[in-house]
Amino acid sequence: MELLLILFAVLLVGVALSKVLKAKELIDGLKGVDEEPISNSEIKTNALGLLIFGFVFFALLIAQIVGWDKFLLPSAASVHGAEIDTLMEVTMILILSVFFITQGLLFWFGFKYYFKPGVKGFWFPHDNRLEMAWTIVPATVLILLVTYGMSTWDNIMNPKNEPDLNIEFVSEQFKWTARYAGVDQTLGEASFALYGSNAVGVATKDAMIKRIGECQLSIKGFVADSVRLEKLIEEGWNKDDKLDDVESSLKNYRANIVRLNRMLDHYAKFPAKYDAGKDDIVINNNVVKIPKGKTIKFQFRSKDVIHSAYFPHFRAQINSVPGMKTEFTFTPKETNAEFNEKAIKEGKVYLKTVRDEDKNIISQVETPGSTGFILLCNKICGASHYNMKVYIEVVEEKEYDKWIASQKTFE
Amino acid sequence: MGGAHHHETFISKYIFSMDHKIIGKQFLITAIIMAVIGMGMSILFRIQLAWPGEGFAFLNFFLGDKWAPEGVLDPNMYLALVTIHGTIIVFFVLTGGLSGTFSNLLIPYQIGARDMASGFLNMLSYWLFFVSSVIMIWSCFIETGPASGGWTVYPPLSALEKAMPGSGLGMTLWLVSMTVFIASSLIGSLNYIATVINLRTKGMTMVRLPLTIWCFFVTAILGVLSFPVLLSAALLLMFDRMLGTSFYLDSIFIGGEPLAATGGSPILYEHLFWFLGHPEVYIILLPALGLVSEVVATNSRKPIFGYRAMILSILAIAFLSFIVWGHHMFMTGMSPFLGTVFTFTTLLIAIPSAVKVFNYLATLWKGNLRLTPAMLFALGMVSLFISGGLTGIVLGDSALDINVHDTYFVVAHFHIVMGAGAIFGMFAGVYHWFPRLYGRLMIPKLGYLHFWVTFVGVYGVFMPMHFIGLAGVPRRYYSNVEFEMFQDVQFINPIITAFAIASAIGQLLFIFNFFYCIFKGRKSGQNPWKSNSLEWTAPVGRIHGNWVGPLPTVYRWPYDYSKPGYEEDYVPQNVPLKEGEHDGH
Ligand code: HEM
Ligand SMILES: [Cu+2]
Ligand SMILES: [Cu+2]
Repeated sequence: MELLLILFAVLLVGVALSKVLKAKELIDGLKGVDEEPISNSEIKTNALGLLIFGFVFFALLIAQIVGWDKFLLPSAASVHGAEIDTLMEVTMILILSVFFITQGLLFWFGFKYYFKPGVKGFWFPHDNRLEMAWTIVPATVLILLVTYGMSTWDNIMNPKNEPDLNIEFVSEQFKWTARYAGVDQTLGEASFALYGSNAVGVATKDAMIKRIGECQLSIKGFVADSVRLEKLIEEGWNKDDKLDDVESSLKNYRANIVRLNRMLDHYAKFPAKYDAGKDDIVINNNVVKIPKGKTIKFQFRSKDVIHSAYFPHFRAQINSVPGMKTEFTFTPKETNAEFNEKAIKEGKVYLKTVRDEDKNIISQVETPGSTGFILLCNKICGASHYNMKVYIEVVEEKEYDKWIASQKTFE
Repeated sequence: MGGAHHHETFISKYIFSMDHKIIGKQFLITAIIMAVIGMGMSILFRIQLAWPGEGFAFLNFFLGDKWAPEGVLDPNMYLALVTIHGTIIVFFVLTGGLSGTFSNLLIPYQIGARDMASGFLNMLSYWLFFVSSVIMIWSCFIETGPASGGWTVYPPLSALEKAMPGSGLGMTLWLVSMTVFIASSLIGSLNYIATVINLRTKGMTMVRLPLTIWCFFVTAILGVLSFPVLLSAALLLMFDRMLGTSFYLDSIFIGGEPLAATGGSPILYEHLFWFLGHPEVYIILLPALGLVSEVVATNSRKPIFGYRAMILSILAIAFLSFIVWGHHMFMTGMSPFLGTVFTFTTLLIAIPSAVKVFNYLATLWKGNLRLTPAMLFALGMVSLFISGGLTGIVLGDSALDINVHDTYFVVAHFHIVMGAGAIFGMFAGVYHWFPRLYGRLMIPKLGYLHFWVTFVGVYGVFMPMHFIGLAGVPRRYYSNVEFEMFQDVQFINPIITAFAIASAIGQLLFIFNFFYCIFKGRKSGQNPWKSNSLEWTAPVGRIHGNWVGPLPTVYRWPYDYSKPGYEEDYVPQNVPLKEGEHDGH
């Protein structure tokens, strides 16, 4: 296949080059000024070209739409996703119809009305009724479509029911860490002031006190560094930028201690908010289980840069932004096994890929079904942006209960 | 001004020229060079996508051991190439290059002026453009590599040196280059606006302007209103990077440290960026549509259909383009209500776009189509505008955008409508106005071949991308095969890359044709396309002041093609109306 394509490219290059060479002869033959700049036979050939292109273009597009459907995503695995799928179908039918009609006319006119000497164009500078018609018709269709779209969007983004479950994902270069809200179904306060060994920065009282200790230790280290560097610089070493780094670190950690103390003051007033974190469960092995049929509110925070949480099978996506909490609520409606069965019924396939230890592909087999649910990063975030995945497993409620009960709580 | 005696040295004539024709050529040739660089970069990263992880000796040759060890592209370099490719094509080729070339060449000619309002500012605009181009290219050769955060350079990724190597010096240079670029663009735009308002010749009312001029004029207004916002976005980003401010930074933990800088919002940057960003796509598209309108009318031997409706559509698009920017941010977590508003305004903008397409089709209907290479590129542009505009309807619908945002579906959409669409408009312009630029014709046979290779190539590259996007593959991925679920669409990537390579090589046809015909092309005569607009009433060759003797007077609109009552199928704008004849439309 690849070889074929390379050959094809080489062939095109060859054709191009031979034409370039031939062009030289052509120019030499074409020096007169009076003749028409373009010959009628050339026009005719290219008119035919437009017609043929139109046909081939349509044929290939239809072939892709039909033939490649099996590679596209199976129908949605979430309740709201079904609404998106329907909206998408309606939109696609609409735009494809418009596509075939307008492109068809374009190529047809290009062919039909090619230049014939002595003929004049039809004098038709405007027609108010026609122009009204093709303003009002698209306007009406679009307004209907957009009203449908806006109500779908509203249903999805402003869910009516309270969530059954609260789960948070914290993104960082280049992974996701999950936190479940625990028995109280409340995610305890968290802050970037506590990141470090505390993967998602859960701010329980003990964690804050521990973190202050850590920061003080770091500060000690940096102070020692800066003293050492200053001495070296006095001795004439060129270490200015190192010293700048150390000083900025000192500033960062000192600000962090102030921040943590402020949080402790806040804790004194509203302890419940922070204590809610004690029973939270942190999962950082890239496999996350969720129960089927439950409405889950996912919240997102980011440690460093913007990432985007994309769950293609559930038709869900929201950015994960430092300094901000974002959320997306959805209800999975199929377990992995059920989803796979549905995908088979819909005629979907995937390439079952077996790799050896060095990740070289040993074999790939087209297999009916789907690879299962994932969460991936969909906002450019750095070198390994292309490889930030979490496997999502949708299981029956009982199995979920058992699994979550076996996980360790934060404190 | 015209006729005034002054001594021209080589330097004042060709380098620091204040003549709009020379400046137009300078923009064009700089843009061609930038386009070759931008296109070359895309081939390098397309190879990685088609054959991820395979070594290619020539990659190592071009990029060295640091960025392509053993011929395999480094992920950071991949992102750097994607970023600079996008920046170059969007800003340097399709904004600076396109407007710079054709606004400069055509505004004075088509409105009947001797030159731009300010020749000096015009020269300054080019040289700032040149300097910014040099800085951008230079940034590719520094040790840590150029900016790599995508052409939109969202902070914090672009603000923090620790986030990626490209966010170091490379990003600083990107910002410096863009600042200079914006200055160039603003100066140019102000000059275009002033010229169109003040220097129209006698009889050239606003409703006798060719649509090209309307498009350039409105584009310049868009630029003047939106680029300053990008400038402030860039300046605040510089402050965050260098002065320790935190306009865009909050609660960040990077390199193992919690940053002291808090209180800002990265989303603020996105709002500022896209407040320029969406008008920017029309800053790119409108000039292309203007060129296409002119080429289509001239070569259909028919008046452009619905001239006034076209002007109204241009104005409507321009106005609406300022209130749709949020459709790039549906997934940022902004208030869902805001999403609803932006969905509504976005779909509104599809209406004038649709009107334009129908008007083009009506213009072709029962025409006498002289299918020159320029005309084919113009028809190709209309085709691309339809294809890309329609997928915009999917993306503009926030509910649908949830699942296609930032996937290859978006990449396909904007490359077709904006990338290829505007490039086709530009090619149509170059083939059509080459006789005006150099008094010679380009070789038609090569032009045709170039068109077909490019047209087939562009659709071959971007049509299949829609499907990759609908399979859920995100954009800006160094490799699409880390996920088993994307393995099944990987076979499409080599196909795309093959088409990309073929169409890139096909551009050699154009480059050869262009440079060869500057010197050796067939002499064209004054009005080879039998066109109505004023640039063809000026004598061949470059004269200071464009017309010998007095400026032409205009009596009619520019689209009197095949007008009943005339023998010829065209009536130039400077031909007086016959007794009892009405002005065109
Ligand atoms: C006609 C000329 C058009 C141009 C030049 C254009 C250009 C672009 C560009 C450059 C992007 C990519 C931004 C990015 O993510 O980096 C884009 C995305 C988008 N375009 Fe267009 N577009 C055009 C028409 C339309 C139309 C007619 C619509 C809607 C009716 C539309 C809706 C969108 C939307 C919503 C996105 C954002 C998609 C996303 O990021 O998820 N565009 N367009
Ligand atoms: Cu990420
Ligand atoms: Cu936009």
